[in-house]
Amino acid sequence: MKLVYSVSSLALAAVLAACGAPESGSGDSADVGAAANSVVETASTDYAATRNAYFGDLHIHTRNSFDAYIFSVRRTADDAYRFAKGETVPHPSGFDMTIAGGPLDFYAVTDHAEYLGILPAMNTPGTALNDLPRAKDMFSTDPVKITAAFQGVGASVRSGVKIEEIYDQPLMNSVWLENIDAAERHNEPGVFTTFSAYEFTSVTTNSENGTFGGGNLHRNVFFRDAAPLRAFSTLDSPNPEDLWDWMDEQRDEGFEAIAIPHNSNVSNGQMFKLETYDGAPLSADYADQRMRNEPLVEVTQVKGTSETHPDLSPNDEWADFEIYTRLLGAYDVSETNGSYVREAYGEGLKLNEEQGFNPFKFGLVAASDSHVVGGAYAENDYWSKVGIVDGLPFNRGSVPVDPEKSWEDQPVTQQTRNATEWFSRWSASGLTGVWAEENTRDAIFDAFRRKETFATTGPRMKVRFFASYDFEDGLETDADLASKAYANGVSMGGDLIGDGRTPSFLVWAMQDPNAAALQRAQVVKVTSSGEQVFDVDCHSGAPDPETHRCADNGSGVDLSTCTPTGDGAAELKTLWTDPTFDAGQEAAYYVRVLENPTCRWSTWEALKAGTPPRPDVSQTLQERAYTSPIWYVPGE
Amino acid sequence: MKRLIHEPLVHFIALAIAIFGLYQLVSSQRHDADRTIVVTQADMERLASLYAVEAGALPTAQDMRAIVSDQIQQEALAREAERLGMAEDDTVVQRRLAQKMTFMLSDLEQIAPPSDQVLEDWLDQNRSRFEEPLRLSFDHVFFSSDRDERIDLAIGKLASDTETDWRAQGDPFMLQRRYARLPQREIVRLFGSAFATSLAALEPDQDGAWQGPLVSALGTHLVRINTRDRQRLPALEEIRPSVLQDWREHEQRRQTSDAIAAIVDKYEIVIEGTEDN
Repeated sequence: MKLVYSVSSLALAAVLAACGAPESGSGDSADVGAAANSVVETASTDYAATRNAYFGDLHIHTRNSFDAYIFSVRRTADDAYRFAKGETVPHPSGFDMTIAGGPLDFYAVTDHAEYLGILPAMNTPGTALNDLPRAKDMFSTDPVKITAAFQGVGASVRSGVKIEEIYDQPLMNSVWLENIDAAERHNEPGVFTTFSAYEFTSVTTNSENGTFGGGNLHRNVFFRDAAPLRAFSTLDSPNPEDLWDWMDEQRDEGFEAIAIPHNSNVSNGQMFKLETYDGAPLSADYADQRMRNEPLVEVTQVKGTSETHPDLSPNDEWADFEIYTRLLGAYDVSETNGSYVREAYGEGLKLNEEQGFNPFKFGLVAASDSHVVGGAYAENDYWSKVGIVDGLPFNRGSVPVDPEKSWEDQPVTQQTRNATEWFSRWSASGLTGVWAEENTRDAIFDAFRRKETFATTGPRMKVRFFASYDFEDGLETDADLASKAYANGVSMGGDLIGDGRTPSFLVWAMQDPNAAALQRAQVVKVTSSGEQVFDVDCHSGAPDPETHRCADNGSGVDLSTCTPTGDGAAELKTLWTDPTFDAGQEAAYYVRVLENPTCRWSTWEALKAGTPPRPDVSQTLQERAYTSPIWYVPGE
Repeated sequence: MKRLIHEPLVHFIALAIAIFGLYQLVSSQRHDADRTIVVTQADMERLASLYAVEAGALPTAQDMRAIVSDQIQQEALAREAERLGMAEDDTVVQRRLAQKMTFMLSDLEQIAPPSDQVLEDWLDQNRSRFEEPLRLSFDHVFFSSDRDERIDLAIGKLASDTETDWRAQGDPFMLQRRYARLPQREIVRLFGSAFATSLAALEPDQDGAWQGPLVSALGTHLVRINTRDRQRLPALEEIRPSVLQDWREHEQRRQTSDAIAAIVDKYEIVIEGTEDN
C-alpha cells in the first residue's frame, strides 16, 4: 500500500503568531467589578521558615486562545491544570503528553485576552458568531478563505483596531470568568497553586519596510487572588503603559496583579528601549510604574533565551545558548540592542547613576509558552509549541522530511523553511523556581513581589543566593546555613546597601536529582560600565584565580546513545567575594548554574528516528538556571 | 418482437426481470450510494491540503490514517442522520449533523444507576486511580560526600544518645531536614528515584530509629521514619461519589463510542488506492 500526496505546502507564515500594532483604543474599565472567587486557604503541611523551592509554569495557552484554536488545540483550562498535576493529556497531533519530572507546584493558564474564546464560538453551530460570513470562511474548506479570515483576526490583535462583528465583549468576559473558575477549581493550598491570568498580546509594527514582523511586547498578567470581571487587552490599547494604568486602577480596587513581559529577544529592541512606547524620554514616574507592575521578566521559554546575545557579551563563552532572533511570524531578524535582560540591567544602572531612576530592576522567571495546554520541558520528550503545526519531528525539522533522504537534498518548501528559520531553533524550556514558605497563592505571590525567583531551562535544579557583610568563614558548612543566611543576609531579588565593607556572596546550587549533574556555578556582574562572568565553584575544583574559569571536568555526551559521559557535582556551594568590588559603584549580581552537557531535543528526535541529527543546530546543550540579581547599592 | 409482446409468459418474465432489475438497481444504489463510503484520491488530496493549511506541513502517513478515519466516521454519522431526514447533503451541514448525531447518541444512552457490585468491580479494576499512596514522614541527616568519616560517627551518636541534636549533624541541606507525609512521587521529585525506593523499602518495625546510610543523587542520608500512611485502596463507602463519577464518565464514553462504531459498522468502507489492511 502506498499513499501518495501531491499537495503544495501553503504559507501559514503570516498567521503563525499573535500580533498587534499600536493604535490607541479606549480603556473602558467602568464595567470592571469584583469577581470574588477566592477559596478559603487552609494551613498547609509544607510550611518552612527557610523556604522551599517550588516550580511552576506561568505561561500556558488553551483552545480559548485565538491562535491555539487554529492550531487545532481543543483542550481546556481544566486539561491544562490536570496536565500540570501529572495527568496525561492528548496532543492535537495524536500522541500523549505527560509532564517530565513529575507534577508542578504552580501553574497558570494565560490565554490571549484578544478575542478570548471567540474562535471556538465562531466554530459552534447555533451561535450568532457562527452565522457570520467571516466564520464560514474561517472554518470552510477553502485554504485561501481560511488564511484570509485568520489573518484578519491577527491583524486586528496587532493594530488594536477591533473587528466589531466578532468583538463580543460579553462572550469574552464569560470565557475569562470560565478561566478564573478553572483556576479556582484547581487551586489547592499546600498542594497546587493556580493564578487567574491572561496574556496581553502587544506587538509593534514594522510597516515602513512592509513586513509582517514587529517587536514583541507581550506580557502575562497575574492576579494574586480575586480577579476583575474583564481583561485589559490590546483591543483596549496596545500600549503597555496603558496596561499599567489599568493595573494600577485594579490594584486600588483590591485586585493585586503583576505583569511579566516575555520574548524580549524578539522585541526588535523595543522591550528595554530607552524611551517610552510613544518615544518620550524615560522618567522616574515611568520607572516607578514599570517596577510596580513588572517586577519580573521571563528570561527563557520555547522561543529562545533572552539573557544575552553573543554580540552583546563577546567575552561570555556561554552566551550563544538557544538564541532565537526571528520576529513573530516572520523571517526578519530582531534588533539585538534593547532586547536582552543583561544589557537592560546595565542600562538601568546607568540611568540610575545619571538620572536617579531604574526601570529595569527586575527579577527572572521562565515558562514554556505552550499552546497545547502542557509545556515540553525535557529534551528527550519534546513536542514544541504550536499544536499540529510543529507537533511532529519532521514538522519542526529535527528529522528530514523524508527520512530516506539526507539533510543535503531537503525540498525547499514553506514547511522546511519554517522549520529551518523557526521551529528547529526553538527550545525545550523553561520553569520558574520560587523560594516561598509554603505552596499557597499568598506565599508564592509574595515571592514574586520580592523577586525571590530563579529561572531554569527545564530541569528542576535549585539555587540559593545571598549577600552579606556578616557571613563568617565556614558558614557554608554550618548546620543552620539557610536560616543564618536569611537572618544575616539579603536573598536574591533584594538590595544590599553599601556600608564601606566588602560583601560576600553565598552561592548554593543543587542538581535536579532526576536530571544531569552540575558542572559549574557562575556569578554574572553587571555595572553601568560593563559585565563580567566569574566561575565561582566548579565540579573540577576551585576556579583559576586569574582567569576565573573552571578546569574542564571531562564531562561530555556519547552522541550515538545520548548518554552523558563523565561525572558532575550534585551540589555546588561557596562563599564568594568579588575581586573587582568597588564600594562606590552600583552593581547587579546574578548566579548562573550550568549542568553537564546533554543532548538537545533535536538530537534526541533524530536518534529515535534513526536519522542523522540536523546539522545547523547544536547537538548538545548545557541546561542552566539563572537567579534574580542582588543589587549592590552604595551607601550614602 | 411485436408478437412476443403479447405473450403472457413473456409478460411475466419481463415483469419479473423488471422487478428483479428494479430490485437490483435499488439494492445496488443502496449498496453504492447508501451503504458504501468511498474515499477517493481527490478526497484525500483535499483532506491533505486542508490539513496542510492548518498545519503548514504535509500530513504523515499516520496523520493521513487519522484524517481518513475521522472522515469516514463523520460521513457514516452524517448519512445516518440524513436517513433520519435531518438534512440534505452539504459539507458544513454534514459536519453539524455528525456532531448532532454524536450528541444525540450520548444523550439517548441513558445510563442506568450501577449496582454496588459494579462500582466495587470498577474500584478494583482501577485501583491505581483510587489508591492512596504510601506517605512517609521522615527526618534526614545529609552528607554531601559518601566518604565523609562523620557518617559513621553520626550513626554511632544517634544510636547511643537520644539527646543528640540530630539537626546539627552532617552538612546543611538546601531544602528541609524534616518532611511530613510525602507521597512517593514527591520523594522522587525531591531526592530522585533511587533514594525513594530505598526509603520505601525500610522495614516498618524500624520506624522511629535512625537508619541508613541511604544514597541519593544528591549525597548520603541517615534517615528516621516517623510515621507512615500505608498505601491502601479505600473502601467503596469512603469514596463512593468519585468512583461513581469516574464510572459514569467512562460508561458514557464507552456507550457513545459503541453506538458510533455500530453505525459505522453498517457501512462498507472503500478507500481508493489502498489495499485491505
